[in-house]
Amino acid sequence: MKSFLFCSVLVFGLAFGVGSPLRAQELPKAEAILDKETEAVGGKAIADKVKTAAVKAKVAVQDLKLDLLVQVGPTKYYKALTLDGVGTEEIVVSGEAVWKKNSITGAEFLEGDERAMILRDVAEFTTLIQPGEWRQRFKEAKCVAEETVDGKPAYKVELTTKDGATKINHYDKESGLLIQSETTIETPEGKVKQVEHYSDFRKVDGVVHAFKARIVGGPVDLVVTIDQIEYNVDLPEERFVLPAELKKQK
Amino acid sequence: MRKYFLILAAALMFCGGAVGQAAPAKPAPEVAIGLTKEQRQKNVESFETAWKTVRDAHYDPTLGGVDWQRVHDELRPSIEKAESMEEARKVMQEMLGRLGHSHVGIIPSEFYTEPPGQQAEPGFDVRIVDGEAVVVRVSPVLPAAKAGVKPGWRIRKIDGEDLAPSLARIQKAVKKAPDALFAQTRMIQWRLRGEEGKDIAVTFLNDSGKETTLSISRAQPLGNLVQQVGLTPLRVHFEARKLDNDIVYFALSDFLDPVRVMPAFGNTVKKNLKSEGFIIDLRGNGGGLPEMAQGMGGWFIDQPNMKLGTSIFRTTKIHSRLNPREAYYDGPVAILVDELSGSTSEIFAGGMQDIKRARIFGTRTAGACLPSLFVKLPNGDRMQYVVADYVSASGKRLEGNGVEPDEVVPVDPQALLDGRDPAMDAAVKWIRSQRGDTAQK
Repeated sequence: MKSFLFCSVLVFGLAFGVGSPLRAQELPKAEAILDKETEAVGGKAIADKVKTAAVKAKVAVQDLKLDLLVQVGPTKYYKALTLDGVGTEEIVVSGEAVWKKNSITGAEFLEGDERAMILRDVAEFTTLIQPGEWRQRFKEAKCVAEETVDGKPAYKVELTTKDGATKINHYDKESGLLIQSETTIETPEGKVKQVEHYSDFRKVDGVVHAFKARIVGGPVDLVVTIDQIEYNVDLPEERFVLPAELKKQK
Repeated sequence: MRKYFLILAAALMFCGGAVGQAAPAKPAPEVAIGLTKEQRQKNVESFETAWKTVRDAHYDPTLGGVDWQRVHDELRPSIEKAESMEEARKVMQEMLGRLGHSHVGIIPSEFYTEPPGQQAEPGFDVRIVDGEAVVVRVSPVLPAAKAGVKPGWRIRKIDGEDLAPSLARIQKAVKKAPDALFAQTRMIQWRLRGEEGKDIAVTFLNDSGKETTLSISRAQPLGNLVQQVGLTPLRVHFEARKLDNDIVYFALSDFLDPVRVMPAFGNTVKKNLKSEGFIIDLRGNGGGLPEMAQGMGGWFIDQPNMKLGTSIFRTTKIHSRLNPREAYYDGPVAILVDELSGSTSEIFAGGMQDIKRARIFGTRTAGACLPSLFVKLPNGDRMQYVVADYVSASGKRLEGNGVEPDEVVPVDPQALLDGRDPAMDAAVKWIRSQRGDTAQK
């Protein structure tokens, strides 16, 4: 199951009670849980067949509605978040170059923490075309508990990404699907826990995706609803061309 | 870390309802006159939400020395006893007022749904000069111009009521002079506004030195009606034209409506890269999206890693970075400001002044410059609250201080009567003096 980080402009994280741990019993190995997820998602169905993917979604937060588009290919990533009446922010990864183009502030290369965060986002979205490749994203995984999440028994797995960030994922004990993911992120108001809840699982070309994600963190509670997931879409080349103002800086 | 859209007059933030879990409110007493039991409960919840939000989100955990718990305990009984929405809002305003800075307030829910026709105006702008309200600008297409109102006229009465006592009361009540000017001007603007098509009687001292009372209709202000996140609907007006054929003039009423304003500004720059100079008029511009200041500033620099200033949050800082755009105007830039130029106007003017990319003309700005957000309260109102402090590129704090112009050009009623605009004239004179000199003075 793919987890999504949708918005680049949010305060996040609400420490979420996930229910009391169940009676201690022998826990499965994290590798088995993650491999079960791969199988449940059906990733092998599209292995080697999918080169690109596109996700169109709506993001709702309070009375705001934003449009989200994500397109991903082997060495390409494009994300556009549009707020009607305000503008669009695009994040692009093309080869080694990572930049942001905002319809209000212009274009800039992303460096340091911002670049690292985007590359983590890219790794998440890349699972759309490489589902099941968890070993490429995480260097450590440990099952630490069995808990109840949204009324369902789930395995709690602590994961460490290749760049050292920690995620806590909960996988549905029965289906194997990822139903909750928790990270701690830096915000201007301090470290905040961000929890993402996944639901409305559907199959697209043999692969199971969550079509709804609720992201809760701090004062923010938003819902991402996917309208469409497509595979092997054309990725317009012009989107991945360095903007003129950034070419001047190279 | 994640970058935020922050706006000062209003926040482009995706804030959900209450922060955390408010302390369970005591059951509201039985219904008193004016409010239902549920409304009273919602007001109490709103009070708690507002209090907790400030406690948890303010950039200064000590709130500048304000004993926030004591404020809560003192005012909690008042919110429980409030017998009208007006009273409840007053209590919450009182609470926020204890913080002693700008960009906090309660915005009634009905302000967001009020028909635009209620914000009609006669069509002239005023400023306070030596304790008197002076007409500084008259829109050529609105009713005031047709009624014969002229710049330089002084306002004596509105709807038969003398202005002088109201101005004096505000002067006495408001401690700082710039804040008094701001408050006095806003008071007059609000009194002039009203229902579209409905006349208002204004008594002027005209250019002949005589008192004349004109009955002036009200019409919609110029500009496009926008409702940006957190803000009530308002009209955003911008204008681009040439002065003397070779100086570009761009005026902006608010840093809002980026979908229209930013392309218009960018195209204005691109079409005039060879112009003698640029004048950006922010007089009366109360602020808006700081990203627009960044975006506009980017047209006047050609190197990355420059900034207008820094927002200082509780645990981190965000720089208002300038990104070089696809074209670069390298000529002299003048920015016009006055005491009603606030918030993002101050970010732009102060930052461009600090990086020596613009010369500032006019009068000291409002000194109201704090990054803020909006949150919806349980009772349907919204609260604006501060999340960061702000310093200009030089490290100077703008809140309470404002931007001091490089050339102070006060409003001159006689010059206005003569058809002149002294601040604009000073900017043009300076631009002309830069001819052949690429250095910014």
